[in-house]
Amino acid sequence: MLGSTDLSYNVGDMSESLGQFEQIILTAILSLRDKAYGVTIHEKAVQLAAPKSISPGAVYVTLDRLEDKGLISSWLSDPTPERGGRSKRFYRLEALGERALEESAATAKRVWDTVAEIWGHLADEVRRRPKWSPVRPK
Amino acid sequence: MESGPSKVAETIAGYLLPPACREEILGDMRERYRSRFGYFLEALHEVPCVIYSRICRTTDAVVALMEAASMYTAFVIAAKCVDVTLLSAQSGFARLAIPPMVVLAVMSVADAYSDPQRRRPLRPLFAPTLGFAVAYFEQLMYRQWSLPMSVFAWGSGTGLLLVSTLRLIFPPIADRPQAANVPAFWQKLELATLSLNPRSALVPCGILLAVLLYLLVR
Repeated sequence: MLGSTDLSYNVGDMSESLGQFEQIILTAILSLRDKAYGVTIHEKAVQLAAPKSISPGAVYVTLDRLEDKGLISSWLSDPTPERGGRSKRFYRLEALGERALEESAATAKRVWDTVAEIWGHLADEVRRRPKWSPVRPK
Repeated sequence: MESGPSKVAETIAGYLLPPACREEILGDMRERYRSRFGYFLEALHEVPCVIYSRICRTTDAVVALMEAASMYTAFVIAAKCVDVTLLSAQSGFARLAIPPMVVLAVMSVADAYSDPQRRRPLRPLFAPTLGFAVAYFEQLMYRQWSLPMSVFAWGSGTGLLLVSTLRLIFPPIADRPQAANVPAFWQKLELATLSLNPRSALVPCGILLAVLLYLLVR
């Protein structure tokens, strides 16, 4: 049985190891709520990762990996006729996944704030500088 | 416009996909269907990814390492007892490593393709037996890297017994009892519960002991 200390260590560890693609997939599952299955997750991930393209195969590999890490869970639905009588595998974010995504988003925000601050200063400096013009000395 | 892929295309894709994820992947591919060529391209890219992912999920690195070490030891002992010159020959130890590598690769793929919904009592023995059969054909095909048949036979026999015993003690991940709400990753880290029937373990252990004693006495 995991104690609270162990759990917090694990969550910290998970969020550190979350890659950008894993974050995209977790965000897609979070935004789709109870409609998250292979096809919809792939469509949402393509929207989130634009202009980069994403193959469905990469989505399946990542979903399996996230499930192995315990960040998401899955279950099979009833068969549907439009899929040739086959079931859908739905995915749901687990508490561990929510916390890992939250920590990743917080880290990304801190990074962005720092970058924006530096770039903001740089932009001001560039604005103050006189424009460069290729004039030959006479 | 076609409403879905042809039966033949779906059947082929279904055979290539591991049974554990066949249902949902085939359904998703049908839902995404646009054209025959598109379906073919999607299958071409998706099937290897899914197989790779399934192999990652069903392979326990620690158990695989134990299996590899036991098989290699079996082949080295067989070479020492039957044909010592092989050990001093150029790339002799490398040649002894080829059959265990082939068996390990076949076992990984066989585990990935095992159906978790079907439980068979002899399943732990199926993958290693298939692996040694493939290793035998590999030996026949590549003569320059093959082992003397007596070494291969002794090594395979002992290796099969060792790997089968290991698989009875540590069943493949797909065959382990799945606890509710426990991620597969954590199950990988835990050792399987030792629900070993002493009778089922006694027979392979006895045969193994007899083979080892015979080889040592000789």
